[in-house]
Amino acid sequence: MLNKKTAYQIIDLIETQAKYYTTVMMDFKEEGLTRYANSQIHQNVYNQDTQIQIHVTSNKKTASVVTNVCDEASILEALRKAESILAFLPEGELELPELENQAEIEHMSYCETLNAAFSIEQRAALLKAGIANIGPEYIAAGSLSLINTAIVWGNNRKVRRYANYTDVKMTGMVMHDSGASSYMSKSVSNADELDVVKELATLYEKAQKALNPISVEPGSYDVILEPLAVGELANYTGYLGFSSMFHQMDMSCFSGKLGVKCLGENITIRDDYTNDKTMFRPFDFEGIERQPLNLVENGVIGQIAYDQSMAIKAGTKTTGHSIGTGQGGIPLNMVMDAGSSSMQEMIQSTKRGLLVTRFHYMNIVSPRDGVLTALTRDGLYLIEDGKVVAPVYNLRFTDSIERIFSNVELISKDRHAVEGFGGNNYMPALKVKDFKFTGKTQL
Amino acid sequence: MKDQISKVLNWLNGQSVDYADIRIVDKQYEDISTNNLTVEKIQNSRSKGYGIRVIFDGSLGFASSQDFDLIQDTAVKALLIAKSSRELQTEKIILSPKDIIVDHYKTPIEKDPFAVPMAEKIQLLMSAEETMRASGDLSRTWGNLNFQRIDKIFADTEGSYITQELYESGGGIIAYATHEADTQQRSYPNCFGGNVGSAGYEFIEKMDLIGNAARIGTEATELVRAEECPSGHFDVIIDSDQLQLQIHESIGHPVELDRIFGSEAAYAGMSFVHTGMIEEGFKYGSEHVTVVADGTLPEALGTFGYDDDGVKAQKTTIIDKGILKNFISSRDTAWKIGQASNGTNRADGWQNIPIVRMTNINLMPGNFELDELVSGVENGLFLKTNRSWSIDDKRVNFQFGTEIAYEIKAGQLTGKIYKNPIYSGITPEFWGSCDGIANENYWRVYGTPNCGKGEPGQEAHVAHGASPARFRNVKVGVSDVK
Repeated sequence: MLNKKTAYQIIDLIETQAKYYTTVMMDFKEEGLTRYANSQIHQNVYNQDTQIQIHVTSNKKTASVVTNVCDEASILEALRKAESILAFLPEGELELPELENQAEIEHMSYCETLNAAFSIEQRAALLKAGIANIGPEYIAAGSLSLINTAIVWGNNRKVRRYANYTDVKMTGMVMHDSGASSYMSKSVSNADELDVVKELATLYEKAQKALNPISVEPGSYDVILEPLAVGELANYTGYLGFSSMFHQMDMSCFSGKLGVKCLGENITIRDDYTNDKTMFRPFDFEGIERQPLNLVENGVIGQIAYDQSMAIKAGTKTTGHSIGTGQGGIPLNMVMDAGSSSMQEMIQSTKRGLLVTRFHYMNIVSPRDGVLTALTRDGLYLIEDGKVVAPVYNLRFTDSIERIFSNVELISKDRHAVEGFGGNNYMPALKVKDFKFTGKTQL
Repeated sequence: MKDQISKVLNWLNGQSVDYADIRIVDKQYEDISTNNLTVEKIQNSRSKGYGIRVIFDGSLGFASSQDFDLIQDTAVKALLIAKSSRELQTEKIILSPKDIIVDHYKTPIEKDPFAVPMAEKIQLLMSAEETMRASGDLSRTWGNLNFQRIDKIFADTEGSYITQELYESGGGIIAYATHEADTQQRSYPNCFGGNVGSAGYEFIEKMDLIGNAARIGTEATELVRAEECPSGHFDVIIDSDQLQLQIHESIGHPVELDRIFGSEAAYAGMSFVHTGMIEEGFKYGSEHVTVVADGTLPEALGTFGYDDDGVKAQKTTIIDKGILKNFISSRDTAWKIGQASNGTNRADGWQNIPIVRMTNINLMPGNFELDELVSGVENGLFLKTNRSWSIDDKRVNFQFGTEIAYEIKAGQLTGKIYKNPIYSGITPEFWGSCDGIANENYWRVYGTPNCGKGEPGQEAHVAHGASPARFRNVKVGVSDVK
């Protein structure tokens, strides 16, 4: 783990040598990942890397150099390279503000217990124990990983930020010889929240229910989307609907609609890194403290995410959502308000509909219209007269964000942490009426 | 370094490993973007480290680090991981035989892209932006250039020692136009940043960004005011800048042998293709469809000297006149079907294990002039430049969007354009409906530098060559969804 002292020494070194306003972002990641397929470990890997990003700014110009070669001479060479690039640059459009006199931000949640519980040997042992309970006509696949992360930010105005954390991720799939499958995904920062053996047993049970699928025709269906499926919709909704870059380009599905009720009154979504089910990244890639955002309040489009550049262009303040790649700020930890229904109640209330486990390969069809497409995967079920009656071959949906979230009839009271573009989202299940399926497959 | 490598490999040999290799990778990357006549991004990056792969008693372990002082510790860790993998190993990993190679490979380049002055690169993008802006009513113009150099050492316990010096150059421009409540874009030479090749700066010069800027500026201005693409079933001609991704998603991925064997089952997915299809003579497409995997094609992004098994890059016929003939493979997957690897096992950087990746998966040209293809369409569309893509986890049901569609009526391009075209289909039916491919004069190669696969996630740099091709009775649009 890159500790605070070592990290700050590197920033101090750069600070003493920097000729211009200079910021440093450091990203340490140590990951052990055990991957299994065909009920055996087929890939088992470990990596450790520290990247140092140096950004040098002067006269509305910024140059960046990234390196993972961390000896003193190489770091200073990277700094000099960034400074030399400035000479070639024409004057830029924006004067980014210098961050000064900020109180130190520090967050430590590195977890020894997780490191011990999910060591190389333990990951293999847990998977072996779980897979032992799976029947002979089924195989298990997925991954189990232990990740230690440290993010560090500083500048030559004495500002320093440091955060570290540990998380364990598990994905699992149990598949019958016929292709019928089930799936789970979990990301936790507490060892008690992940029982690998139990998860695989549940997957086995679910996979048996997916046998002998029937084919249904594309068309409009009432659907119940499990949290994994909702999370995937939320990822694209956050990216397309609430990134200030898309708004600045006039390419967002909510362009010109801030303050307008576009979604159902029952939809409230916040971006909230402080929720303990998401991921505690207290500052962004520009060193700015992240602010919770009210993205949608009772269907009304509220705040959008800004980094410094987009905020200046829009005449507002950054919300601390830079991801360092010029995307203008993206909500990464979306939390949707829970409803009052149980999954059972949602199913019982459905005359004819489909239950969706998750989506595969979602993509944007038309950004301005907010149209998305994806296929269902690892468990699609037909519901008739309030009961799940049969598994169904996968279908493709093509529908718009605005229509989907305007047609939500029920929201579950239980929510799950599901992996997003950078950390977790915390999502309920949704019952959505009139969901458009536009294609089918026999798999 | 050679002594350090020998020491580690000798130590691993002494631990009775079946096999071990070490890869040392030093990657330099330069990324320049301009946006609305200002420099949006200028970043140089470097990533250097090594990965050690061990097979012990048929089980795999891999460890990597940026810290060269820890090379022995990393070898110990890789061995420990391999031993740990044995806990849950029912089928031992066996590598197909290969030649022992001691060699050096360098991407043939005319102009070192890192030696070209930064000011010249920025000026090129600015000039292209100005030309776009002069040609139409645009809301945004954007340009990018990117360059990569990788120095790689591969050494294994079988005696191979290979060094490679690999270059890439890429670039592109985009014109955006906004009208009423819509924004549309036209890109050149391709979408999502342009085109990338295994080449020097001459690749950028040949693109002629400035020479194509006015055309896409004008097209973007017209496109945003164009009608929505009609829905229905149409005969379509798909240009190579869209067909390249169609090949990628519906041929390249399905024939990856590790995917066929289930390695990606829970993540990227599997394939509708199975190994028995070779013997069955599976009809993947019409007799017009011949596809090769060619890791040797000059200037193409999926070209290299040796893969990360130390196997020489080569050319393999995947589909011959519509019939499936082979897969793309690594040493461990090839062994399972009694073959030698065809050299496609590649890792993203030093920090990942190699997995089966596409090289240059190319649809070979046909005999048609483009006019002949158009003349055979009574009521159809010419689809150009990818905008979106999606395919199921078995690679059967696909849907693509393109930036623009040109109307074809009575065998002629009418000059009318449509926005927001999408088309969908089922892989073997779609390729089976191909009844003509334009000749080699229309053949273009497009690099895809962001092919995602594997856990932890890896991005491969691959490419696809194609000429425009005609497909009959393709579903276009989703009529009732907006």
